[in-house]
Amino acid sequence: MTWRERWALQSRQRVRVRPTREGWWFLLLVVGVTLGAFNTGNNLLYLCLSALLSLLVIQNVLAEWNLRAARLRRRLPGELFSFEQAEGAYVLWSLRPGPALVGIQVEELDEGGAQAEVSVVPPTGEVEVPAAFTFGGRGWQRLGRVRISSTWPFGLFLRYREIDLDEAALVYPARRPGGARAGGAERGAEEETPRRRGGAGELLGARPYVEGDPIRSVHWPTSARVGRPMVVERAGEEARSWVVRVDVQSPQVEDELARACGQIVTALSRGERIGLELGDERLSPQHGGVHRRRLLTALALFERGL
Amino acid sequence: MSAPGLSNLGARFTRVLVVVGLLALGSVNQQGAALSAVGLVGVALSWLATHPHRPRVWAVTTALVAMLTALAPSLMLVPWASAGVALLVYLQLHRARTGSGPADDRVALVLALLMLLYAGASRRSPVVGLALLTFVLLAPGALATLELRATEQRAGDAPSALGRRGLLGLAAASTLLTAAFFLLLPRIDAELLASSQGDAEMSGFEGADVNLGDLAGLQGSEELILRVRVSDEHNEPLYGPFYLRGLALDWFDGVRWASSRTATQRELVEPYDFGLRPLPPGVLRQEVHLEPTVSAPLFATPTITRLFSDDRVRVDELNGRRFDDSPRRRRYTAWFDPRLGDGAIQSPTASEGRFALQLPSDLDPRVAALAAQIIGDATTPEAKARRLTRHLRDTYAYQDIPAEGEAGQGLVSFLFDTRRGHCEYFATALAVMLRAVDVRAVVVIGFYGGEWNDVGGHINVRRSDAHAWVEAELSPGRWSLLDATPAGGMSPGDQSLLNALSDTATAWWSRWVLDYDLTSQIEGGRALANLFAPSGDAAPGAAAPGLAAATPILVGLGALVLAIGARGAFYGAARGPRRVIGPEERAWREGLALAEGRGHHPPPALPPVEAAEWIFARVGEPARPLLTLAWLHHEACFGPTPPPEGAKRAKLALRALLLLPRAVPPTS
Repeated sequence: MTWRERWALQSRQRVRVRPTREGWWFLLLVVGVTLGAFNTGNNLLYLCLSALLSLLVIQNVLAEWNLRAARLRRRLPGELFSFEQAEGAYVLWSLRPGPALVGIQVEELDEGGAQAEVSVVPPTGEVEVPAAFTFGGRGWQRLGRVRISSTWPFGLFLRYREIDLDEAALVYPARRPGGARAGGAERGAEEETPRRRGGAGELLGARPYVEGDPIRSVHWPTSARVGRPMVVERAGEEARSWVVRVDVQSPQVEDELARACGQIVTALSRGERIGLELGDERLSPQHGGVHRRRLLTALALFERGL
Repeated sequence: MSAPGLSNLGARFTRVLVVVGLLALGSVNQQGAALSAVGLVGVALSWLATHPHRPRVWAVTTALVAMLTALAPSLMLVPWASAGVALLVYLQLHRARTGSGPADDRVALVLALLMLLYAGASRRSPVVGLALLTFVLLAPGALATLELRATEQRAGDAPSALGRRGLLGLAAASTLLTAAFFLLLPRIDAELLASSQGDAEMSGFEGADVNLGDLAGLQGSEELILRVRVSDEHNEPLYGPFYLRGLALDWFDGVRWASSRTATQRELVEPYDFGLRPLPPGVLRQEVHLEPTVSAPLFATPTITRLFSDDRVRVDELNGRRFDDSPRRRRYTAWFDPRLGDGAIQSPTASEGRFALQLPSDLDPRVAALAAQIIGDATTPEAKARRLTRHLRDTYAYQDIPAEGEAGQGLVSFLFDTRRGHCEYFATALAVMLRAVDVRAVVVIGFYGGEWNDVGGHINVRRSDAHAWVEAELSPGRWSLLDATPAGGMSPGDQSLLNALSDTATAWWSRWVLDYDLTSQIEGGRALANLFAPSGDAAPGAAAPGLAAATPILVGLGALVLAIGARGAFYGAARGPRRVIGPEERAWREGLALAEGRGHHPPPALPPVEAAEWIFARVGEPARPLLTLAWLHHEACFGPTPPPEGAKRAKLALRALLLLPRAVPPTS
C-alpha cells in the first residue's frame, strides 16, 4: 500500500461530525451568547458561555471515545438471493476495558443496504445485532464501506466514521415464484427415468411441505405434531430427476435465471434430483447441499458470451 | 440503574431545570416574579396531572395562559416583551409536560437555558448564579439520559451504560470545565452595541449640584454603594471608620452647592497601572468595589498617594475624581499614608479654586456676624477653624431625618431657628462661616463609617452612610479635613453573623464572578509569572500582585486538569487496570507486521482473529501460524486463564510464519 493509498484510507476513516437539528440550535445559541458576552462583558453571560462550551467539550470527548473504541465485522448469511432480504448480522465490540459503547448505528454505504443499531456494547465485550442485507444483482457483490455513527452522549451532534470492510459476497439470482413447472422449468426436460428407492411403501422420511407438492401428499398427523405441513416420502414413489435448461439466448436471460433459481430451490427442497443446463455448462441431476450450492453458484456467476 | 429509572431521571432533571429557569426569571423584576409565580403554579398543576392520560388539564391550562398573555398587553398589565416571555414559559412547560419524546425534553432544556440567559443578562444576583450552577450540574446528565432514552426507543432495548457514578462524573466534569472556561476565557468588552449596566442612582452624587438637604434623602436607604477593605502592609484589615471622599463643591448660592470644575482636567492614572513602582513602608491599601453609579465618582480616602484602576479617572481642580466612561461595576485600589494626617490633603489645584472664598450674594449678615463672634480673637486660619468646628459640634444637634416643616430648611434657619440638622447643614455652616472669616473652604460629599463585616474583613458602605464635611486651607497650600457634625451622626456599626455571612457570599460573588475581568486575568498572569521570577525582580510592597491574584488562573488550570482526570468516572463501569502487553500479544503484533510486510493487508478495523482469517482465506495453509497467533492473543486477552505455554507456542508459530509467501499483486 502506497502512502497515498494509506493517506486516502486514513482520511476516509477519519471521524466526522455533523450537528443534528437540536445541535444547530445549540450552535446558534453558543454564537449568540458569545456575541452577547463579548459585547457587554457581562460575566453571567460568560458563565453561560462557559457552561455551553463545557457541554460542547464533553460531547466531543465522549463521542470520540465512543467511536474510536468501536470495532466492527459483518456476518453475512449463508445464502444471498438478489432482491431478497437475508438476515445477517453485525458484530460490534469494544476495545476499551472501561467505557461501554452507546448508541452505535451501522449502515452499509456501498452494497447490501443493511442498517442496524446497538444500544450498548459492554466494555471489551461484543454484541451481535441482526441486519437485513439486500442486493440488487447476482454474482460477486463487493461489500465495502460501512458507516458507524452515534449521537451519544447529548444528541446534539452526529459523529460518524467510515470503515472499509472489503468483502465479496456471492449473490444468487432472485427466486421467482411461479410453481413447479413455471418459467424456466417448463423448458426443463426429464432426462432420466424415475428410480425407485427402497422397497415399495417403505417410509423414507418426512420433509416440510413446499409449494407445488400435491395436497394429498401432506401427512396430517405428522404436520399436527410438528406444527407445520409435512410431506411423507415413501419408497416406491417417484424420486423425480430432471434438468433445468436455461435459454441463455433469451433477451430476458435474467428472468430465465431467476425462474431457474426458484425452480431449483423448490425442487431440491422437495428432495428431487435436479440438474442444470446453462449454455455450455451441464450439471447432472443430483441432490444435496453441495450440489445445490454448485447449481446456484453456476446461476449466479453465469455470464453470456459475446 | 435500571433503564426505566434512567428515563424518569432525565425527565426529572428536565423538570428541575424548568423550575430553576422559572425561579431565575422570577428574580429579575416584579413582572418576572409574577410570571414565574404563575409558571410555578403551572408546574404544580402539571405535577398533579402527571398521568399521561390526562392531557386535558394541560390543554385547558395552555389555552388559559395563551388567552391571558394575549390580553395582558392590551390591558397594559405587562409590556409586549413580558407577554412574549410568558408565552415562552408556557410553551416550554407545555412541551416539557406533553412532549412524547426526548427531543421535546431537549427543547424544554434549551428554553430553560434561554430563561436563564434572560435572567443573567438582566440581573446579576447570586440567585441567577445558583440557577446557572444547577444548570451546569444537571444539564449534561439530563441530556445524556434523554439520549439513552432515544436510543432505547430506536434500538428497542434498555441501555444501562450510565450509572450513578457516570452521572456524577458528568456533573463534575461539566462544573470543572465551566469553571476553567469561565476563568480562562479572555474578557472582551467590545461594546459593539450600546449597553448600559448602571442600575443604581445616587442622588446627590450624579450631578454637580447638591441642594441643601438632599443628603437627608439618602439617610434611610440601605442600598449598598461600595465595599472597602483597608489593610496595612501585612495585609491585616483595619476597621476604620474612614472618610471616603467623593466630590468637592465650592460654589454656594444660599440654596445649593455646585462645583466650579473647569474644562481642564487631568488624568489621574493611566489604565493598567499595576503599581510596579515601590511603595514606602507604612502605606495602607484600600481595595474598593464600587457598585454602578450614574456619575461614577471615585471614592477613596482624601490623601491617596497612588491609584490603581483599569478605568480612566479624571481629576478636577477641586481634586474631585470621576471615572471617565459609562457607569458600571468597578474595582480599584488606592494607597494612602496615614502618617500624613488630615492636613496633607493633596489638592494642589484647589488652592487656586476661584470660588473657595465665594459667599452667596444675599447671605444674611447675621451669619458673618455669628462667625466673627465665634472666632473671637483668633487670627490664624487653624484657630478660626477649630473654634467654629467646636461651636457647631457643641451647640447644634444632629438630626438625620428633618422634623415636620424643617425639610429643605435654609442655612439661616439651621443656624438661628431650629439649630438642628444633618451633616450637610453642619458642613455648609462651617464652610460659609470659614469663608466669612477669610478662610478658603469647600464642602466635600462622600461616605463615612459603614458596617464592618467580620467574616469578609471589609466595610460595607451604604447610601445611609453618605456624609458631608469641609476641606479648608489652614495654611498656604495645605488643606485639612474639618468635620463639624456631632459624633452621634456618625456611628459605624457591626453586622450580625448571619448578615455578615450573606454579605460575604455576595461580596465573593461580586469579586470572583461579576467583577472578574481582563485586569484580573492579566494581574493573575503576572502573579504567576512572579512566582517563577527571581525574587529580586518581584515588585516590593503591597502593590505587587500576590499569589491571591493568581488564584483564578490557578483554579482554572486546576479545573482543566481535574476535568481531564475525571474522564474515568464518566461511565458506570470501572476502568480496568492498566493493560500489560503479554508475550502472546507481542507475538501477534510481530506476526501481523510480518504479514503486512509481505503484502497482506487485512482491513484495519478487523480484530486479530478476523484479520488472521482474512489472510488465511487468501493465502491458505501457510498463514495458519498467524491464525494460531491470533487465537493465542484472543485467549490471553479475553480468556479466563492465560493459554498454557502461550509464550512458547507463540514463539513457534512466529517462527513457522516466516514461510508466509509474499502477496501476488493483482493482475488487471
